[in-house]
Amino acid sequence: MSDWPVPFLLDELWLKTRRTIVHRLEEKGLWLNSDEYSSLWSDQKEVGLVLKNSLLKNALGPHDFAIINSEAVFGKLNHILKHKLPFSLAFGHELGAGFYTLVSEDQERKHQIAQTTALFNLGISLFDFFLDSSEEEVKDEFKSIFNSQALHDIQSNKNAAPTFYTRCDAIEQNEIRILLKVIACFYQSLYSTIQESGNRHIIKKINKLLLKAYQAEINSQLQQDINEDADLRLVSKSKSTLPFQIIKNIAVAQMKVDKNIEQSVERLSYTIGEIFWLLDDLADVVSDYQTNQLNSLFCNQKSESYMMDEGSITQILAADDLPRLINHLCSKIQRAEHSISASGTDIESNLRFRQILLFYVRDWLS
Amino acid sequence: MVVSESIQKELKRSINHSTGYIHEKRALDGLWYDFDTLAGASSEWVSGYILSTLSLLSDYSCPIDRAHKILLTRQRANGGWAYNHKVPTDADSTSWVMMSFSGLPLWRPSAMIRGINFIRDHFNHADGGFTTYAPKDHIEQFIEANKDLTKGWLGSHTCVTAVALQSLLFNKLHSDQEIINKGCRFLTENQQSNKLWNSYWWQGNAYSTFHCLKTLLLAKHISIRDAKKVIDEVISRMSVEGYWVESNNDSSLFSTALFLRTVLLLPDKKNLKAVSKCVDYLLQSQLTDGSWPSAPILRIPPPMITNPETLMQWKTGEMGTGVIIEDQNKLFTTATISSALHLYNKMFLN
Repeated sequence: MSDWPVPFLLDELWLKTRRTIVHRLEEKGLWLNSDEYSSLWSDQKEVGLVLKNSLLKNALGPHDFAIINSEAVFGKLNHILKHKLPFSLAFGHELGAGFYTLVSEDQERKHQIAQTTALFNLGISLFDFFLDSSEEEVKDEFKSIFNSQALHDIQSNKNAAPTFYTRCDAIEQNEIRILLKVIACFYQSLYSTIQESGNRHIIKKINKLLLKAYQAEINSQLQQDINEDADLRLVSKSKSTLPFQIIKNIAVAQMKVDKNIEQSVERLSYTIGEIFWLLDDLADVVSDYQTNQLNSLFCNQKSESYMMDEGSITQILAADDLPRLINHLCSKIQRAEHSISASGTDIESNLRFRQILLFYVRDWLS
Repeated sequence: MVVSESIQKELKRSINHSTGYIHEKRALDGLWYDFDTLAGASSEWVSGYILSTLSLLSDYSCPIDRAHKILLTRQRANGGWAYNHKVPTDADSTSWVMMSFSGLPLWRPSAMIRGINFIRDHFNHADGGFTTYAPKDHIEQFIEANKDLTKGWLGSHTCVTAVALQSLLFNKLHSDQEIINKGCRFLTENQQSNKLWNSYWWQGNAYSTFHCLKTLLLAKHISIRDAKKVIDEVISRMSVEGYWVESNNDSSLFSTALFLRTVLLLPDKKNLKAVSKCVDYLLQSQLTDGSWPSAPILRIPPPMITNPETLMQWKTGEMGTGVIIEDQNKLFTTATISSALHLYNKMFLN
């Protein structure tokens, strides 16, 4: 136990986490310098704003576009939504484009695929915001509209998404309506993106992953109903990694890709998912402690159980759990870097993908 | 409806000009000052409000400002901030300062936790509201008044409660839902029969109505239908010229901007004409230096008065209590109007 009050221990925990991450990543050349970061920040914000004012505005229509820009939508997460929205679109766009260029030199379809993955990434963020800011009865209302039957309909029939979209206007709850419109537009875009491939296997695979991702999001809300800590970690990890796998599968859906390359890109998408899963825990360690949320830093390595008390902060500060987790993060980033440079033939695109990845790693901690 | 290209250009020019004005008016110590009183002008409270506005204008993407760092050094031992460095701490100033940190990285968790605890110490368990001052702030010593004569300033106020709840809602380190629920119930119980809210510290209904409705929507404590009734009432009070008149029969730009923000909380096609008329009015009212004219907006009730609506004689152009004062540096008014224009621009961007 420490003589320090908990708030000061949390200051130290915040500082130590940041300091260790920056030092370790700098040592390995994985920390963008401030000039590179600022330049990419402006670039990504611009990309995001263009997507927001074109893609998202078309998806929502003028009325709901005004609402998503209002001061109270998505409740207590309104400020975070305002900040993250353009970056969420831009990140989805960059990931789609990045995975695509790893398997194809053909630039023709890249933009359309990247728009689909931008919408998907935004949908995931909005779903998170919705679940974290809504009352139980509103979540139930959402689940009653977007139930497994609705998901099955929309997945099995490419004409179901437009019908579903037109029904959204009758929904009174702003967040539910906005979220469902984004989901409907994503499916429309997905079908128009991959229909030419006629590859039933890949459509089936994407739909299966989407179903799993939806379930992982719902399960993450039911923490109190999951008794085993190990299961909680699995749910949290799936929630983070599945979206990246889905984006990769959308990006390569139309291509006939060599099996080895396909597997390598699949592994890359999973590794990127793991990176952001670890980053989530590292970035939110203080707020997770304060609000009693699941965080792997508080996982007792021996018993695999979660300890969230004053003693556990002292232990993290004194022991080597934090450097170990950050080393683990570094090795994941290095693995992703290696995988990017080993795949594809366009050196410039690979370099951009790497820089974008490092940008979002640094940005996650801001 | 979308904003035409020329109006959009005009909006951007106006917002940039007003932001320039706000930056120019920063004092040498890095803070902003406004509202002269017997205790001097406000620094901490006004700076919290201005930083929150600048944060909104950047869509919560602005970097840490030197004023944030200065404000951190001004946090008192009890975790609170105040009107200025001479005055005892209060929940309203603390809430605005805390809100100014809400879009930033959580680089000093202890300061935020102490701030949250300070605000929670001003929660009135008897009625569910938040008080401006708690007994332990000892405002009576500062104003040299008998303790029994400060119950007005120590009471729960809707304008303070709404902002205190917002600061808790937006803070990642706060998770006590019960206090939010009770606070929201207090706001609902204090809604007037005309659907609007009265304020303790502000002239007219605009400040309280905007912040109470925003808080209830943020906390999901009001149905869309009921919120729209508030907005309908606000719209019904707008003049044909596009402004709102408060109790003193003068048009108030500050109130107009707050009522506009109230209407924009739930944008509705049927209100768009009224909204664009109001925006035109605000654009036309901007001064050449980028600011908007101030007016007496902040009232200082005598400390024993619990219901300021009962006080008939308010003085302007004077100091002390029982007075309504203006933001002589026009910072509060300018910040509030530029926020309203920014939101309108974002919502109806072409």
